[in-house]
Amino acid sequence: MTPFLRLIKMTYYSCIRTLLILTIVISVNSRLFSQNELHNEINIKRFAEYLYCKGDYQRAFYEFERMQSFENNDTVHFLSALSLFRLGEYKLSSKYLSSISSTNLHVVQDLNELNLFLNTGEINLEPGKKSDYQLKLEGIKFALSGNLSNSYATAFNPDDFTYYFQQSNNINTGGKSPVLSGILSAIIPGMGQIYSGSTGDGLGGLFNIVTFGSLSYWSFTENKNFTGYLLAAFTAWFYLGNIYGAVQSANNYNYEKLTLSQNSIMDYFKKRDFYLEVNIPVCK
Amino acid sequence: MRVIFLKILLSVVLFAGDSTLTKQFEYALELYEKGNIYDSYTEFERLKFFDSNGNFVFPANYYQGFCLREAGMYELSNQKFLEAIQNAKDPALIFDSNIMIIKNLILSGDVLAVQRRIEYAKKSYTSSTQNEQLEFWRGWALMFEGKWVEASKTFTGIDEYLTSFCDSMDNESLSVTTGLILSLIPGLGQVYAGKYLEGAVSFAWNIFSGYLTINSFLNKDFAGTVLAGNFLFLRFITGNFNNTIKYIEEKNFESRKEAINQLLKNYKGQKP
Repeated sequence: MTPFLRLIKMTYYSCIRTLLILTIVISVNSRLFSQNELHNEINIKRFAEYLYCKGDYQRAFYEFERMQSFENNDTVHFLSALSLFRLGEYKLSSKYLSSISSTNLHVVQDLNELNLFLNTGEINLEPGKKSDYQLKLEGIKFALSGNLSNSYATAFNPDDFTYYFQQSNNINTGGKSPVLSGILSAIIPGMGQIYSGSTGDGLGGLFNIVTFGSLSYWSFTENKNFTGYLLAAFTAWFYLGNIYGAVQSANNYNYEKLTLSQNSIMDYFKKRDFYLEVNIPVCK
Repeated sequence: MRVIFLKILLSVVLFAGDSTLTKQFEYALELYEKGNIYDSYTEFERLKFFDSNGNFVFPANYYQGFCLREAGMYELSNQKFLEAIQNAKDPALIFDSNIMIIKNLILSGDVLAVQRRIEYAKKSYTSSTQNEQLEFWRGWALMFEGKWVEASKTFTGIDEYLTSFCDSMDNESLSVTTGLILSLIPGLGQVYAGKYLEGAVSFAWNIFSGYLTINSFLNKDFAGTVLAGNFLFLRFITGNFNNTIKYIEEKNFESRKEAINQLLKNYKGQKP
């Protein structure tokens, strides 16, 4: 055998030996640490992101928390804050955001603003130019109070603005006046309820008052004074109650209308994921 | 040599992968056995996520079903058992998961769903043992609904203890029909339901309002008759019947609740 061939043979066997040793080492390690494999930095992150995408935000948050022992960086803090935000824990989410060093990132600022808005209904209006996101939140805030003006048109895309504007207008138009409703019921019992959309209640009230009033009148004509007074007292009680009911009926109508419009605005806002531009690649 | 090397490498890769998931499964199971159901659920979820071959989908879903069941989340638990069924190959395990679904439905009080599920299961399971087991759980569902006679019939030939338990419960429970017949004498139905004071008060009000109504009528006071009859007598006589039904149902419900709680504690056989 030539020295060259011997060298090749030796190299070949030494390679095989090294590979075998490596294999055994891998095998032992994998047996010893195999379960930990699923709990290492990369796999915890993968699992946390999977949970987040699945909508299991509470477990996702705990996994992101665990990740902090491996990598305590802004991304992990942000993902924790985002999970808390999805859980409706706005205050706690803000606390996590405050530990992020790169506060100039617009998505961090936006989430912070949104947490404040959803927690308190307020917008952080520091002096200086408002960000696009602040303008959007301010627009939504005014829409919810029924005061969205055209000056916010540029903050949204046209379709969204049209929707918010219509819903906001609904809040302030077409309401029923409680005073007018009360007066109407004082003139013709039940009329206030009919004006406020509670026709059944109005007709029921009218029937009661007419029935008791007539029975009272009939009792007096028959000299049954005690029954007459008793029925008159019932009639007066129903009459006053009817006026109060008419005022409440108008208030209820307005409240229901307000709640309905505000809920539509919030639902529309939620459907657009609060205009947050958060991209978690695995969720796609 | 090359063949041996390849075999070792292959077995290591395969075994290591399997061992990882097996250990994860054991870890999740250990948490479950320790009563840490929240973490156990998470670990089973992790197992499913990393189990690319789907070998652990059945046991993971099955135990997740148990975790949710222990948390009282019966509907979600059933979703997990259904997912387990979809991934199970062994018919015995499928049957067992079906029984778990039925048990969850019994505990959540959805008797109609239990009946539907049992009827559906009976189409697939025709063996006498499986049929007997399904009937056994139907009996439990009927007990939860308070249908003691039907429950007793269902348990006949399956479980003697439960049959006699249902019979004794049927003897103890109050009859609404008897209560209503007794209520023709105002207040007596309520006394039958164990509400003595309420029965006496009801009796007094009915007599008083009846007297006022009849008196007004005899005095030709039409308005007074309508007033007393409509707002007093009619109200009290209706209340007498309504309260009788209400009190009997309340009493039966309470005794059923107590009896079932005792049964769940003391009965030695299978429980939901």
